[in-house]
Amino acid sequence: MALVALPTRAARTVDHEGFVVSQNHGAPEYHWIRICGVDAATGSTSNAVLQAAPSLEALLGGGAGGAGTSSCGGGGAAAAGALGAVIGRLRAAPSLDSFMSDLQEVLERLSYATSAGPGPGSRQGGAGAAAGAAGRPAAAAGAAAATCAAAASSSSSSSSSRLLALLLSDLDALGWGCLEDLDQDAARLSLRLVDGCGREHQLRLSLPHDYPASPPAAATDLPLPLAFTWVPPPAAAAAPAPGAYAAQRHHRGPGAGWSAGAGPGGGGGGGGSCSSLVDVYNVFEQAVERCQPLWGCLEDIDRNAHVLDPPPTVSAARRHLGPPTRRLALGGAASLQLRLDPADPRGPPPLQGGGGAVAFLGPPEHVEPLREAFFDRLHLWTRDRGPVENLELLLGKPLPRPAGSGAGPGAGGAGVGGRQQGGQDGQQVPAGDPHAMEAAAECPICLMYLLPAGNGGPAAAEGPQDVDMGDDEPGAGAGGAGLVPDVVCPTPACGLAFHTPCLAEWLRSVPDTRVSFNKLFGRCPFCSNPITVRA
Amino acid sequence: MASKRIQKELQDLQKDPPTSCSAGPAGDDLFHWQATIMGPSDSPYAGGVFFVNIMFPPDYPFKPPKVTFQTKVYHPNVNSQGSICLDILKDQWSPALTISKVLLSICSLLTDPNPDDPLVPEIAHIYKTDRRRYEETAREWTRKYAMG
Repeated sequence: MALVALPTRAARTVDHEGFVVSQNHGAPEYHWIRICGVDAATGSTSNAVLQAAPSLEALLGGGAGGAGTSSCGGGGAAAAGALGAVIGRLRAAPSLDSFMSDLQEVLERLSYATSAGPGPGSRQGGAGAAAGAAGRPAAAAGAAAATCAAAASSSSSSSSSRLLALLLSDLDALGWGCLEDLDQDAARLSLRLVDGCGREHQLRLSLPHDYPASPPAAATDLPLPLAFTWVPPPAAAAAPAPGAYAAQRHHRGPGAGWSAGAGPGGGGGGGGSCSSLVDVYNVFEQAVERCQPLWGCLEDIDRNAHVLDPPPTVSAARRHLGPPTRRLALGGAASLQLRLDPADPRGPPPLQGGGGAVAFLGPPEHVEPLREAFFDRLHLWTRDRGPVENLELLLGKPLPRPAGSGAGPGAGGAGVGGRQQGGQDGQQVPAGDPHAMEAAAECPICLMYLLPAGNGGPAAAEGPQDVDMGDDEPGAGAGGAGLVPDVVCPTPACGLAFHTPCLAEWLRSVPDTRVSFNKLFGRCPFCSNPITVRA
Repeated sequence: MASKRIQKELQDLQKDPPTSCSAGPAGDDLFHWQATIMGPSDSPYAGGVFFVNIMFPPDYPFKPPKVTFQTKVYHPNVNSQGSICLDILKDQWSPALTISKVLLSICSLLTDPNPDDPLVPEIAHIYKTDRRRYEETAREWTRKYAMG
């Protein structure tokens, strides 16, 4: 945006005159502007007078009349009011330069708003920056308009601006660094939390229309539900004055605003009572803290055992996402699907809940002795040992070590000191074993290890909803990582593992396949011996 | 899935090419390949280079690829159109098979014809009754059509 101001010398003051440029749907528009009465000696603008072309007045006055009422007909009274606010900003500005850069910023935002589709809210945001405090840190492009609108219209009584003011004070208190995403209309936002172990967590909030009277809806990827009771803030009727920011800021100090921790009872018992997003975030932090033992156990498994699912391409920072399950290679074609209890991760897998916390997969000849050993000695499982040690004790044999560090391209990253140690251990396994494992792990039908999610597989829909994180590689991110081969041919000599959707599609296309109770009974494409898969 | 799987097969062929045959896309179309098969040294086709046309169906690997000889071959299981009578290309197809395995099967079919399931009964009859004449004709066709 070009901006030209031409000084014309008078007696004791300086007049500036020129044109400012705005963009209207990509086309430049020039507006005449004159600023009289700038003190020649000090450069003070406290007595300055602003004159502007009607086009500029119309542009600036568009939303200053109120949130939804763009009552600016042809300039007139409304525009005078808007221009008055701009003149007030000019007189309060420390120098002409800073005023001009403010004005320039306003015009840039206006042109952003018109190019992104004009709406009353965004126009108001643009004009507000001139009248209110500009220069507040803006996180995202969408947040910028909302921020300025909230700052500008604290005198306005519209509910949307009150919402924005609340949101603004909450974000000021939390720190803007944790804001990951904010909708244009500020109805949804997602907050990020990185815990002490470098794991990333996301709190997705959506604010109802009558927020803060109604509670915000919170969604997380945590294995435990996030429970809190909502107490609408008492000051909900009035927008917080600037002084209230300071009070909110202290809110986050030690102890204050700390809602009483809810027990880890998963049944949705009363969580902490919350009256702001800061409180909800605190409850979220506590919930993350409560899950740390679980993630510690999962990391122990990832470091000390050969984990087939989630695959090694899922990076260390994201392996905690999704359900708390791991599929472990047991040697040969056998594998073990294990689900830990989020509330008691060091305890034995929760068998009574039903739903397969422990499932042995593979040819029956291989699996049966392991299954028997496991359940015969299940009483020996103790919380003093990690899950891998417990499993090795129960199964009576060491678990296969993780595949060599070269096998997992995504295995690098933060906190992998122990992982590399594991990789070295892995090389004591007979040479070439990781490669053999890798080749054997590929589904012989699609020739892939990971079948991309959304390929018609029923498990594709099981991932946590709404996790749209812009993955850079198709296999990234647990849950959405894709399917690993999960149906193993029961013939010991074959033992190949297929993806359920691949095998089901093949068996459906073969005429002599029988269907019974949602199961397909057919022949293994490799060894021609009987194989069963769910339809 | 088809194009992904074909791409993976192409990668594997390039990474670990089989002896005695080669294959790859004929042009821009990934579903149309051309392959060459070297005549097996212990057969009357020794020394010949046989061109093979491969068309992948859109629902590959759930349906078999269509494989035909472009070079004329004197063989009980290959007719004058180049069609091949091979069970794994018909009802014995399995998605666990790959193009490289199919080409190897064709190689072994060249070495060991299957006269009990012939596509050209006359050649099958000659193969069964007068093996020397069959070998001579096959060698002559190979010299005529599959060399130079």
